[in-house]
Amino acid sequence: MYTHVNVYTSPAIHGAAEELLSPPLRPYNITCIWAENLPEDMRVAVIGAGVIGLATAQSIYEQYHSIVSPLTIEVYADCFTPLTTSDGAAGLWQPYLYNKGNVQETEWNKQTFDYLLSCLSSPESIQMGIFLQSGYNLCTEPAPDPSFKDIVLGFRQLTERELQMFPGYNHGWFNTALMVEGKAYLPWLMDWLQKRGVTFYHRKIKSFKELAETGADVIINCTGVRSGELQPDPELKPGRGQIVKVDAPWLKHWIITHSSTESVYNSPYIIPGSRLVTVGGIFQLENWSEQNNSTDHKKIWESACQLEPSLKHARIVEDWAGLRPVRSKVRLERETIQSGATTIEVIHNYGHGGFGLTIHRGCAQEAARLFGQIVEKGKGPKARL
Amino acid sequence: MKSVRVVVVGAGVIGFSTAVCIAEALPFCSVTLLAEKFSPDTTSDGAAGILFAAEFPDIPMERQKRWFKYSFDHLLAIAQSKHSPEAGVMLTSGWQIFRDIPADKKPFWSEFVIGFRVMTDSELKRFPDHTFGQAFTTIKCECSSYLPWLEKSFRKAGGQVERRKLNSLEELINSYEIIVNCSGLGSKTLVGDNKVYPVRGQVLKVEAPWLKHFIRDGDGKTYIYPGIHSVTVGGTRQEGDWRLQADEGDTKGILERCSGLEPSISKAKVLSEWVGLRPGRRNPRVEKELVQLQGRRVPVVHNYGHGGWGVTLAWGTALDALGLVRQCLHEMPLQANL
Repeated sequence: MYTHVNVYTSPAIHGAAEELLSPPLRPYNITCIWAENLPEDMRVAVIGAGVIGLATAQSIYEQYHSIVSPLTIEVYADCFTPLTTSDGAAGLWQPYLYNKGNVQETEWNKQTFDYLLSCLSSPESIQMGIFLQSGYNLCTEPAPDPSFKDIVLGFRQLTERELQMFPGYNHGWFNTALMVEGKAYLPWLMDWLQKRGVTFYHRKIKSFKELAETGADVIINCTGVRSGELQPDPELKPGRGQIVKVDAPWLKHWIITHSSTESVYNSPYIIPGSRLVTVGGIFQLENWSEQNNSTDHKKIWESACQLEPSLKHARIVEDWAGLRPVRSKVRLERETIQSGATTIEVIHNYGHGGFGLTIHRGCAQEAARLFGQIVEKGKGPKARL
Repeated sequence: MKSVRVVVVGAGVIGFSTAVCIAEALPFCSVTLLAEKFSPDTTSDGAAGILFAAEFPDIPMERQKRWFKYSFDHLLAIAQSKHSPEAGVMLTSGWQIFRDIPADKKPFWSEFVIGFRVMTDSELKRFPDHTFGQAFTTIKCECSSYLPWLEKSFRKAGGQVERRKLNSLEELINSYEIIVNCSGLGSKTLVGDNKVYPVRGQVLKVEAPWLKHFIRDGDGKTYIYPGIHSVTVGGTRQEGDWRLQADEGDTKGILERCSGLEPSISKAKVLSEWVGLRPGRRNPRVEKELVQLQGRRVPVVHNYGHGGWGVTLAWGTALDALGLVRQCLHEMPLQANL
């Protein structure tokens, strides 16, 4: 039985490829694909340095740096860690309860979970900000099992005794999930990329054309909530969130509540991190304010203390407000834009709402696959015949 | 009516739990807690304090279940309240894993902890050397906070505290009518119980705030218990070993074994080492007796010998001891009540 391997090779490196493929690599069934049309030099410009932008750069590098040579990847952003939306997120891997038929997104969520789980055994897991944490999803009335029940570890219904611990909630689930803290994960990703030659530019990009004119072959649009500034998108809206970060190291479980009357994230949640606990429960659609609001603070704090009385003794460290890039579904697709005589290849990867960290790897891999389509077409402006 | 004077000997988790039970339930008694060592210098202080039981061979199962259940429910109420951080009592979830499938897959205490279930195959993948596991939520009770909190409750209930080294129970008979002996390993000399022996335990405290679950090997020798400010990793179970200094070989062994279960431990900063001598005994001694002291028959209630299960059984055995004190009160000759 053979393992099938495709080897993309070009005239320039065919000799070296032959050597690599001789025994002992057999018995692999190797197909040499003469890729005369593969571009030998490509410049990829990623706009956005949140988790989506950085992870997409990583996936493209992983999958194509040995196929396209040289592959130049540049990341342009108006803000970098620790000031991105990804940095403010608590970092709990958990999709919305129900995927409303969007099985594609559930698959990307699963890929991300499995990927993060495999990172746990890496010696770099702590630097990556990845660790396991268990907790409670609480509902005010019986609800169908969530879309992630078979993805997380040890999923089960809550026992009577557990429900008694949370008055006002009569149904829910317990499971072990993963945490991926943006404040550690983003710097780790940037370091990973930097070591492999990816360069970063602190600059606000005003148009796709601007980058195309400087010679970018493919543009990856990971501009999150401000994507509308590059290309109007009526489906993209800010979902404002506010959180309070407190010092409460005796808390070791996350607690997410769900209300049938409130929208997701507008119900209290408490998520312990590696150092501080994130307390939240605000979701305001179409509110663009990134300022902390004292009414919101009061609402968050009072409902959280009701949920977890011991919070009364917690030292409040800081408040933070951020804008989730909310969209009916993630925009992850190619677009070929005609600008005069030139064609601009764009891959959109934005609109991940409150589940960017949860879905990032699956989306990044898909974006890389779309990039691969462009590579294989050989229609990049610098393709050599 | 002159109040009956009760003295509780020992300021560990057993002594203070028992003292609080008595002082709160018997307001007409004057209760004094007397000990040489107080927190943070007791055996209880170094214990990780995870609620988790073992089976004693000679105690009726109903009584053991009661001990565990009452202790658990008592501490659960504290963990759920706003007093949780001050008392050092919190909820903790995690896994107990076994290399070989144990004979008893569902131990007696499984019905009293929260959410007890067998681990799934995907959960066990992280532990390739282990073939079976149990997942549950239990309580962690950190005595360095819990003992001062108990003392606060004790004083509030009118209790008095005295720091004193006791060489013999005879020193107490002129000041107290009932003696409650919670002297742990000290019972060996204080009441001459040669069935008590030390079980040496060494632990390390490491800084690993990203660890949120406990992991315990079913053999009891390797465990990782995340606490409020540090993670306790251990351990050792050396019977008859009286050494109180940390052993370098033990430290190395603990770090190796714990890193085997949780690789990130090898990256954790070691904050401190600690050694405690568990008051080992075949069964805990929770019973009353009349002791001949200087010509008098003095009622003594014993509550000691809990081994490595002191925190786990403290409240349940304290309630039993309270019951025994009540019996002593009923049986006392009338002149004590004048």
